Amino acid sequence: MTTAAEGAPDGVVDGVVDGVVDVLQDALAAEHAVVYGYGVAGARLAGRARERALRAYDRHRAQRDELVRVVADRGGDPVAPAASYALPHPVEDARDALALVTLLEERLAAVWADAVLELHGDLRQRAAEGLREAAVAAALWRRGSVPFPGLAERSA
Amino acid sequence: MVTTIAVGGLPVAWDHPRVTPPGEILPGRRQVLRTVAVAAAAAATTTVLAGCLPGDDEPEPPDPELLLRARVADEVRALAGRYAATVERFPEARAELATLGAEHEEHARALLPRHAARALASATAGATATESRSTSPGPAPSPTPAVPSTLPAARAELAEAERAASRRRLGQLRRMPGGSPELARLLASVAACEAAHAALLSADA
Repeated sequence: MTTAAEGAPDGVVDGVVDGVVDVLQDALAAEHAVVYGYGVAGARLAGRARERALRAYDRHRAQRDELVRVVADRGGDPVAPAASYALPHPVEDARDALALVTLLEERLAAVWADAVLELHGDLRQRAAEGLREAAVAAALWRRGSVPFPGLAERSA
Repeated sequence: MVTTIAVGGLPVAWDHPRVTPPGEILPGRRQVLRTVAVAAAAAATTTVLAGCLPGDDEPEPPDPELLLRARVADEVRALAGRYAATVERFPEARAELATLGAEHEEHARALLPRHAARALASATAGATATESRSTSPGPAPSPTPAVPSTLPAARAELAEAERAASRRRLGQLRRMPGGSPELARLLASVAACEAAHAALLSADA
């Protein structure tokens, strides 16, 4: 665990960047992972599911690009995608692919829910929108609802 | 096979959620900070509510956050009431619709736990109506609109009510008094659930 004594927190450059950038960097890192995951899952899907996955892939790439701009505008150095990502489980067929994209959206919802906790004003609204979009996507992939999207402490 | 990946320099465990609790996508320092923040917010809520407990000769006016919690709880109970009325009209849709309606009852309980409802009742003048609302789990006091005559139309109306509720929730989030992070997060999650309900009702119709 990093302590303040070890140096400047992540995202602080010459004191210009505040904790808000940390939160946005978390969301950006999550979007990088989600974009990667949709790329993997899309290859295992066909028909309408594949079309929906491709649309989601495009939507997440756009959100990733938006976050890159927002982080840079606030003086941060946008986190880059990892060189590679290990998947939570093998993705060998459509069923695996649907499980993966559902999980990705659920985790993205949790990241945005935590961002709501830490942000204010327009950025808080943006985080709430991010949570809402991820929750809708997860519900459509799993064809079912959960009462508290993004809130791990209230999940059954 | 489960291995570890790096996201933004942080190790990320992509375990199955049954093995690892959700939220592990970005573990570490920030997660600890968040946990502390949630605990602090919960403690703050308790303190606010304590100020509304009976016993003072001159009870203080209800906290604005508590009033917002009560108002939103009423709204989500009204949504649950619409589901109940629709299930009564179309029993064949019970399996799906009762599940969605029950989630709104969960929202109401999370927004206004029993101790908070009691505090509000004590702090509100003419508390009779509030007291009965807080002690009985029955439907919302507001009248439920008539259920459309066909199931597709009823589903479409529920979907529209959910969409409107989700928009309203985000407006409440923006105008929230004070800015309690814990309530903001809860409102945002309820808004997300309502939007998900709308999408499910529209997708399957």
